[in-house]
Amino acid sequence: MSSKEVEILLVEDNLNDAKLTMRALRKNNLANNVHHVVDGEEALDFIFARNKYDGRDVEKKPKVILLDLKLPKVDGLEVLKILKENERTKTIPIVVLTSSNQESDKVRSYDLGANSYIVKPVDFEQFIKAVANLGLYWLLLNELP
Amino acid sequence: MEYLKKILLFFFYINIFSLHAHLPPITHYGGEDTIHVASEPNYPPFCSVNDAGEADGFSVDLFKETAAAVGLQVEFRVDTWNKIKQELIDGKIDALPMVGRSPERELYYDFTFPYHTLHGGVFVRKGTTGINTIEDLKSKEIIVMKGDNTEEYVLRENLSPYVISTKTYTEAFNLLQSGKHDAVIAQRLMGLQLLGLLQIEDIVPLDIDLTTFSQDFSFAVQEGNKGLLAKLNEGLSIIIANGTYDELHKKWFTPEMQRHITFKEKLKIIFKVLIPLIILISIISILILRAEVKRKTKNLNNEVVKRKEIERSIRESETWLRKIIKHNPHFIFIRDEDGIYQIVNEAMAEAYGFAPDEIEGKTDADFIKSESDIIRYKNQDLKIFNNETDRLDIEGSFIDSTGNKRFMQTIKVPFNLLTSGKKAVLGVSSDITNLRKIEAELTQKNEDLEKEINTRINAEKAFMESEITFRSIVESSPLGIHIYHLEDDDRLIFEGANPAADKLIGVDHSQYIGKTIEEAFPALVDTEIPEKYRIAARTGESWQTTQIDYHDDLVNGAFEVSAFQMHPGKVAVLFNNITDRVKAEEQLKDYRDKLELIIEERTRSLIEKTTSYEDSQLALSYLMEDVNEARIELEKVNAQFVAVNQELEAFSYSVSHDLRAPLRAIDGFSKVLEEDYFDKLDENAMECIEIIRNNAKMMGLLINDLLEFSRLSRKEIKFFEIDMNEIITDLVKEFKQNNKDRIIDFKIHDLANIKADRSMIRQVLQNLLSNAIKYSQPRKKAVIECGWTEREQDIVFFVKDNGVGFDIKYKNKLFGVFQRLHLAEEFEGTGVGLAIVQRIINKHGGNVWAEGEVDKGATFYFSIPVEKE
Repeated sequence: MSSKEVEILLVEDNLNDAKLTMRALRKNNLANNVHHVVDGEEALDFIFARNKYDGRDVEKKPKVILLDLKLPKVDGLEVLKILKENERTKTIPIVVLTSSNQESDKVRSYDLGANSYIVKPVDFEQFIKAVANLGLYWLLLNELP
Repeated sequence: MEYLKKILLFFFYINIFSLHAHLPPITHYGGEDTIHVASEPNYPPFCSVNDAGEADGFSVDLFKETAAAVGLQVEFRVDTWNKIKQELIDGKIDALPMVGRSPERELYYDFTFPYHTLHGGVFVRKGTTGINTIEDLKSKEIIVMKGDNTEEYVLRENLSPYVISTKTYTEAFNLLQSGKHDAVIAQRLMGLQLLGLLQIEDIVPLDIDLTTFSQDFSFAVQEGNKGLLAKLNEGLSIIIANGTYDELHKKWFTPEMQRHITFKEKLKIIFKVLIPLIILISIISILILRAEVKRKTKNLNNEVVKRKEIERSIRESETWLRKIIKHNPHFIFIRDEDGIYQIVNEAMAEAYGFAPDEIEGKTDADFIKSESDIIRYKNQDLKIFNNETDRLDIEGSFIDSTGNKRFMQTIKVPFNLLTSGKKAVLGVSSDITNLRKIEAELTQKNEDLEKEINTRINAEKAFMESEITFRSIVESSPLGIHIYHLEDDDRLIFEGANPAADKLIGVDHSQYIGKTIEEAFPALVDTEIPEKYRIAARTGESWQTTQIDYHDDLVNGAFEVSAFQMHPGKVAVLFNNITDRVKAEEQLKDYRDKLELIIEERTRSLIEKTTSYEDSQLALSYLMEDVNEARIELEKVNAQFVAVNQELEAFSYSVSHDLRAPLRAIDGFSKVLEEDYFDKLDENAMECIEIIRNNAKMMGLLINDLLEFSRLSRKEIKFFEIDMNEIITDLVKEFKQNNKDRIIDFKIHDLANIKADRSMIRQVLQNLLSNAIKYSQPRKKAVIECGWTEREQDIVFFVKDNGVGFDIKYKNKLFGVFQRLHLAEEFEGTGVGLAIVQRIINKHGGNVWAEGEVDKGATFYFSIPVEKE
């Protein structure tokens, strides 16, 4: 673990997608403080400084969480729900980043309090652009309480 | 009389002998001949005129009697003396009844023996002096009647040179009366009579005796008419002898005339009559005086008796007057001008606490305590004494001996004391204390009464108002009202009714007024109703009944009646004509009965039907069971179907999701290669990478479209009224946004609204527009038109472009799945768009078709059926 502050928490089970995402963030100089977890449980452990992440300073919250929906163990929507219901973590902006363009998923995500919903395009160019935009927005422009 | 008689007889005999000698040839007498005689009108009492204008008088009557005695008819005429005098001379008349014998007249008249002697008299105006003897007449103007023997006498005797003759003596006297001339000489008796007749009082006869004027009067005939003369003489004698003459004489001569009897005779009379008369008178006088004395004595005695009587009655009056005064409850007193009480009655004295004799003779100061009273009384008295008034009415008060205040009403009048000659005041006071009290009470009572009256008036007003209200209610009430009053003998008398009553029974009530109820409404006679009314009138117990059927000659119907007391003895009967209602009720009953029958029937048939229904019900239930079974089957199948659907859904979801991931990797890492190793790769390699990437992209699209397509067939279509313009506008904006680099002219007509699934139709339009844009890319300026037309059963929309078009022979292939008419290199696309469009439109019940020409653009149509109302 990096002693540096985690700015972005990337929750993605597909390693390819993860790699590409990292690349996109790197290209935009946003990759420094990205932490990657591969399932929902690990994401929660990280946020709540549990188990593996027991020593982490729980007060230190990431600026944005990029959350894939289809996750093993704890499902993405579940993670979203938990985080948004928790007093301390509900303020963390969560961007649902998923390949599903199902309307129902979208609705459910927003219902649970997702701040944004991005469909992962097949076109990588677009993907990069999307990610870059994300990063720019959530890290640089958006103001958090 | 004897003297006269002698003379008459003498003349009678003479004339008998001269009868034949002097008969004129003109006149013959043989019996009943009529002789014409005339007399003068105004020589009373001898010749005058009666009221009828006929000849009248002593001489006339004498002549008539004379003529009658000898059987002669006489006709008299009246005319002036002078005229008739001449007529006899001329023979126009036969005789004159009164002619004075004179030597002159002897020449042309023949006279009967005289029947009367007259003396002349001198008449003068009263107060005339200077005529005492005949000689005095010498210088006077004398008036006489023309032709009269006085004229002859005056002339003969030459009494005076101044002689005036008038036609009549009336004229003469009038002349004298008027102041003309000095005297009238006429027959004394005649003159006096005439003056009396003429009512001339200021001419009087003088006492001059005209001795030489003494005239005998006879009847005169024409000279020579011996026959008539003889007859007249005869007649005269007869009437003298039989007393007719005396009668006539008595008739015509008043005692006044008798006055001028000769002096001698007078003397004789005096001596013969007067002396014995005197003696008689004396005797009588003495007798009378004696009687008188007796009478007077008697009177005096009577007087004394009367006086005694009066005294007694006066004393009596005094007694009861005293009693009155004494016992009178009023105060009665007489107080003189010195203030001394002459009389005080018991009532007054007692009031002051004294006896009357203790006050009589004293003054106010002696017994009245109040100084102010004393002064007041004195002042009042002074008013009387000073003659300021002769009556004082005073109201005042004083404190009596017992200390009570007494209100007194006093009258004071002057009273002169005859004994002392002093002035006094008579006073009468009545105690009006009680009166005052009563007055006050009365005033109070009056006020109370007035109040009561006012209350009564108000009550009356209220009553009147309520009467009026009652009247108007009665008049305008739609219910009929009959009013009866109960007589003492228990008869109910019809008094009146309101307008509604007449309308309801159809009879004018005026014929019932005054009749008993039995007379007015005979059909009620044997019913309880009149008695009920009587009870109501008497006791106030009201009575009603819901229906009375009444039928008589005038009135027919059913009535709802209620009777109640207006006030004791008067009952008002309110009624309503319910004939119609009863009829209606009966009708209703009929209907109801009929209805019941119908219902019975229906029920019966219903029961029949029900049984058959039940049978069919049973059959139905069996059917239902079957249906149920089928339904259950269907549900099972449905559930399966749903399950399958869900599976499919999950499947396609995971397919799309999972398929995309690797695609992303392919595309992504290809890009990495491209970016990171561009300097190490040649053109070919780059091309390969490009191809890899494109294909990955393609696959992604395919997956999307496939998913879309499959989802579409499972989706439930929802019909709503959708605003096509809104959708189009939205899409156009989007497309413009996404195709900024191109020049596209969108010609969008105003589209109709349709009933369809919004999202699906959106998809349709999106796909069509997308195609239009895609296939018009080669054109510098793309023109895309969108519009609609209305057909009988549907609305047709179209999207037209000026793109590359298509060969019409392949139009059937347009809408196939994955069917393309161009290469992917030319135009990208999976070939699913139109299939989707067709799928959707078919689901809506419409159709899709296209028209086009190679290089000339294409028009795609779709129809949506519309429900025509």
